[in-house]
Amino acid sequence: MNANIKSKLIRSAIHMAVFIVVLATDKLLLPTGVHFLVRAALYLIPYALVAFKVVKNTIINAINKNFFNEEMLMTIAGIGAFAVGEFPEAIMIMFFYEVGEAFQDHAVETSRDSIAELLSLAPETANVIRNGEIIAVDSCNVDIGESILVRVGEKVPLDGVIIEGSSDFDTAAISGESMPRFIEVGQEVLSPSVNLTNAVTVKVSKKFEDSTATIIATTVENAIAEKPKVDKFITRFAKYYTPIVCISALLIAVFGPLVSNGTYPEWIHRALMLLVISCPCALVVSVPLGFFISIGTAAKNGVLVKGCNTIEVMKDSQIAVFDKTGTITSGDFSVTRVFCSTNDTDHMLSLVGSVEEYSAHPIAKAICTYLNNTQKVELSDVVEHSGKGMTAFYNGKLLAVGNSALLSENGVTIADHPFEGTAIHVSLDSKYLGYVVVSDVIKPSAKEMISQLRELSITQTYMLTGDNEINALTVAESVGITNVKSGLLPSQKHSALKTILRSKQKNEKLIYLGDGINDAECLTSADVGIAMGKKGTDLAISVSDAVIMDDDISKLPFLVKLSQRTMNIMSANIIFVLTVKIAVFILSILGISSMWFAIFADVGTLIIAILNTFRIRNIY
Amino acid sequence: MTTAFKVKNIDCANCAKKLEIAVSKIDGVKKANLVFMLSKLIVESDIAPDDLLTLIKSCAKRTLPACTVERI
Repeated sequence: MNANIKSKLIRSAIHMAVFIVVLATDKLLLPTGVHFLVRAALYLIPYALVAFKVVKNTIINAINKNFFNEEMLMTIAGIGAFAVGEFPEAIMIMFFYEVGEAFQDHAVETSRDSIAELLSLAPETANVIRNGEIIAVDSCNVDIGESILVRVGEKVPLDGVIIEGSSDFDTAAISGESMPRFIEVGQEVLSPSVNLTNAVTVKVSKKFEDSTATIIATTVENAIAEKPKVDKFITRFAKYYTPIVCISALLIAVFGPLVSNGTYPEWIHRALMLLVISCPCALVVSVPLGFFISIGTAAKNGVLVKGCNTIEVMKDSQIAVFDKTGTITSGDFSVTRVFCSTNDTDHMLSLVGSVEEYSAHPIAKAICTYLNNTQKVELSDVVEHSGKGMTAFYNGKLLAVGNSALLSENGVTIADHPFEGTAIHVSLDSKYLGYVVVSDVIKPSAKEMISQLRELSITQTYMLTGDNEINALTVAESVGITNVKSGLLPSQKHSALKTILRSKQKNEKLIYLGDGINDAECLTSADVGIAMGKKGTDLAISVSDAVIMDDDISKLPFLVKLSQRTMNIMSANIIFVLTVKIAVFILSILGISSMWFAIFADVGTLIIAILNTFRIRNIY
Repeated sequence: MTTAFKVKNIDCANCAKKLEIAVSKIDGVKKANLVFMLSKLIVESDIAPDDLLTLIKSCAKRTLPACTVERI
């Protein structure tokens, strides 16, 4: 709680104490039938204390010819209550108005602080190593390729690659993951990770404005600035609400006694209750506060949402369409199966491992990683056949390692293999030895993610891929995706998505998840496009509506749940505040309400709406 | 042209709305967006930033005497 709000509350408590003393004096000490003005003078003491600021602002406003505002209405309500002899009420109106304001201030400040943390993620200075000296430089003025020192406890100011040292990093600001990550020489480290254990030297690979911390900050800031549909509704409503209530108050104060029973003081009292409920603050504050908390919660969990609209739309999503490589699968190849037709598997693997060392192809690299520890053999005349594989001579015999086309060129015929992935066949001296299957690994959380989506009423799932049918079906089946379109060229991918978009109902929203350049069109056409932040290309990230920073697709159900929760809580607030205000409005006119109801409809709803909005954070 | 301003001492969402509407009615202002949660006013207009600041300040004085406006 900040000092400003604390002092406000202390002041309110003192005001309350003075009021209680006055109230006790009035009820217990003063003889009944004491003159009206004596009691008025007595109550003027706490009233002056409580209402000082509001009345002062009212006067300033009036001087500036601004008559129509909450403070003016509260002042009128207070003076009116005095005039009809309801002294304690006059004070309570002001007192609770003050408490409500202080509470709202506190709620807004707290959430502003938590976002400010996100918005000032990156340190403003970097320790740059220039000519062997360490100098503190403004992060904006550090060039790509410069070396910076990141000490223990410091945040990484710019994205880069570690060139000296290794350390554990807290990457929670990027991924939401609280487990520290060990990063060593040659690996990328992103701002604003926090260095936990050892000092490291980082070679800067991105300018300050392109570094992750800056991107997170600007995205979150722009997202909050966007006005969602529900906000426009509230604005329009608030525009008419206050004048309608105030005019009603004036009308019933003047004409009430003429058309119905009751005296002027009674009807004025009813009119005052209307003035107290005329502020739409409870309604107006809960919308921006709700989106603010929602976007902040998403960012803390490693998902950047680019606008409030995304949250609004996503709550109605029923269809999820996925790209395969890089989204459902990790996009990294690894060896998933080894088969040897002779008994000497080790020998075959050492041949494969030795020849693949000569190639830079991603598949070759994956095999080399897998066969890192096998014994290597001497080879000669190694040739890479683009798109087919490798040939070499081993002890004077021709070794062929590659696809079936390469082997058939060398006199070995192989039947089609019926399993997922890419098979690398091996033959030595035209004799078939076996194969190694390399495939893309399905992300471990994919299956769980699809079943969670189903629970969130996203029942239709699609996978669009350029890969062949067998690979696509195997992946889809093992994670539980029901519809598959495979063998799509990049342009066909978009038209496949358009077919799905055409066949759906208008109120069913579609989410598309992808990472590549060829996903950009789909990300744009979908109701909500979500890109992968790590593997994702810059284009995919820039056209998407939300970004999963660490590519962990289990964040998708989280995001859907968050949007549903946000919109539910917000609707509940709107309905609650409106119901209470309308009920008190009617009851006041009928004369069966009391000032306490009115104060509750004003301040009580404000406090309850704010507290309810904060529940968005407790999503787990 | 878009110019951003910091609005201090704005603690009621409805008051922020009023200032936003008032600023958007200034002649030459195409769009005004007061982001209550960031206390930031983003204005799209052809008016020179310094003149715009004066106009917004007088607008704020009328609608919300307690708040102060400055350029970011």
